[in-house]
Amino acid sequence: MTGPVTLVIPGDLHAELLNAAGQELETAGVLLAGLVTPGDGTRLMATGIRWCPPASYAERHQDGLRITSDGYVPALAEAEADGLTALWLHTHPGDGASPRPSRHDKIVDDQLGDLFRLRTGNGWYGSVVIAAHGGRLRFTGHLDSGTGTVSVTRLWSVGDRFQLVHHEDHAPAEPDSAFDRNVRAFGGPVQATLSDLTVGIVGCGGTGSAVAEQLARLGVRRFILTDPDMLSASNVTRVYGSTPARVGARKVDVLGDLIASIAPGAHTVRDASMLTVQAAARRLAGADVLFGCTDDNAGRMVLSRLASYLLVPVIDCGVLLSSGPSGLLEGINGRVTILAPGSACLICRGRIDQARAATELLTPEERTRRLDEGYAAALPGAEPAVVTFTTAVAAAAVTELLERLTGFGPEPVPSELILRLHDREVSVNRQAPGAGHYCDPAAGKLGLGHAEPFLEQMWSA
Amino acid sequence: MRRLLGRLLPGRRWHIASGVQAADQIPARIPARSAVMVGTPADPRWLAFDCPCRTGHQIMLNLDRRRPPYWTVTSTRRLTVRPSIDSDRPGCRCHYYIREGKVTWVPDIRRREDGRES
Repeated sequence: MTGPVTLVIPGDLHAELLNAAGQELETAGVLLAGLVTPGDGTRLMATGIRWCPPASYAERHQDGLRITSDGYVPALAEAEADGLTALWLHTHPGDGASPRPSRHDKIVDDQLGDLFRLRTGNGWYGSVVIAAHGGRLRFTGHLDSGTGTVSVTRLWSVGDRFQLVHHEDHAPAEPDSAFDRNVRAFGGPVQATLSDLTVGIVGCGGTGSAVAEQLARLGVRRFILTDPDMLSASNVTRVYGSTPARVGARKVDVLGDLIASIAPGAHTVRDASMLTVQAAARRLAGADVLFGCTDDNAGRMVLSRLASYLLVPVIDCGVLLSSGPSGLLEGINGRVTILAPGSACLICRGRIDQARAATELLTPEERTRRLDEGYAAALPGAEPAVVTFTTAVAAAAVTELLERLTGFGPEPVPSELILRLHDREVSVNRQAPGAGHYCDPAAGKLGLGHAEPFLEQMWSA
Repeated sequence: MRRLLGRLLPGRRWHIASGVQAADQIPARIPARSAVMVGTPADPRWLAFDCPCRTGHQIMLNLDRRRPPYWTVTSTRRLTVRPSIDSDRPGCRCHYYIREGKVTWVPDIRRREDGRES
C-alpha cells in the first residue's frame, strides 16, 4: 500500500462524528468502510459507524472508558458479511483536545489488531481518534496489516459541503504567493484544499477543457482526464488549449498539455478511454471530485453510479441548444447537477436517456441492425455547440465546487442549477434520491465501491 | 499476565490430542494447548479443553448439531472452532476465537489517560 490514504465520509456521518467529539464523555464505535486502491493511493469509503451501545460501557469518563466486547464485536461480524474494513474509532472530548493517540490508545490497538483482522477476514485493522476544535473535526488514524502500518492521511467529507481534513501531523504549506488574489477571496485553507485535490474530468471537449483551464488557474494540481476522442477541426472552436496544429491529437493530451502550460508541476493521468470500460471507471476511484463533461449517456450512467458507490462527488454539466422553426437559435439551456450522498442520481432525476445509453453500448454493426429492426433508439448527429455557452456552464460548475468548499451560498444547498441563458435566468432545485434506488442511503449502496462486480453492474470490457 | 505470557511464549498450536467415547472419560487435567473430543469424527459430541486463561476451569463445547447451540470443529491438527467461545462466569469472562491453532482474545477495551497532549 503506497500513497495517501483517504477516508471518505458522507456529510451526515461527518456531522455525527463532530457531535460525538463534542460530547463531555469519551465515545467509541466501529467505523465500517469499503477499501479500494486505485493508482497510487488508498480510499476508505465509510459506509457507517456502529457506536458501542450505552449498556456496553462498563466505565465512561472524560478521559477514559471501559467497553465490554459486546459493544464492538457485532460490528466486526457485519464487516465480515459485507467485505468491509473495520476501524476502531473513539473521541478525545473537549473543544481543542488533541486527537493524537496516547500510550493507552496504542495498547488498545495492540490488543485489537489480531482480533479485528481475524473476525472481519479483511486483513486490516484500522484505528481512528477524533477531536473537535472550533466546530471542525481533527483526527489521527492508521491501518495495520499485522506486519506494517500506514497512516490515514486525509479525511474527505462529502455532503452538502465538501471539507478536506489532514492527519494531525500534516504540516500545511503556505499557499504560493501567485494565489494571493484567490486567498483574499476564500482564504488560505480553501486554497490549500484546492492544491491537494485530485479532480477527474470525464469528457475533454468544450466544457471539460474550460473546467480544466479554470481549475488549473485556481490551483488544482492533480487531474485524471478521461476521453477516447481525437481533436477534430470543429473542436478547435471550443476546446481550450487546442490549435489547428493539434487536430488529430488525443483530447486528453491537448488538455494535459494545457494544464502543464499553466502549472508545470501539475500531475495528469491521461486516459484515452471510454468510461464504459471498467479499467477507466476504476481509475476514477482515485479522484476526490469528478466533473462530468460528456454528452455520452452510457458514460454518464457510470458516472452516476461512481458518485454513490465511491462516495465521490460528481458535478455533471450539460448544454442544450435548440432552434425554432426558422432555424434560429431559441433555447440556450445549461445544467449543472451535483451528485453527492443524500442527493438524487442522474437516473432518478431523469437526466439520462437510458434508451440512447443502451444504443451507445452496441457495436456499430449491431446498432445498424437493431435500428433497422426498430429495436434501438436513434442517436443524434452532431449537436450544435458554441464556446461561450460551454464556457458559461463550465464556470457555473467550477463555481459550485468553490461554493461547496467555502459555503458562501445560502442553505439548503441546491443539487442542481439550470441556466436559461436565452432568458438570462438561473434557477436551482434540490431532489431527494428515489426510494430504494442505489443513490438512496437506505439502500445501503453508498461506499460499496469495493464490491464485485464493480459498481454492481455488468461490464463488457 | 497468563494471557500475556501465552501470547509471548512460542508454543505448540492448539490441537485435538485425543478422543474418548464418553464425557465421563475426559481426563481431569488436559495437557496445555490440547483438546479432547468426545464421540467419533463422524458423530462428535463434545470438545473439552482447559480454558486458555489458565485459571483452571474447563470448557465443554457441544458439537452435536441436533442440540443447539453447537460449535463446529473444522480443523483438528491446527484446531479451528466456530463460532467464538464466550465463557461468562462471575468475575471472569473468557471470550476468544480459536483459529488455525491460535487463540485470539476478545478483550474488554480499557483506556484511561494519564495526561494527554494538547
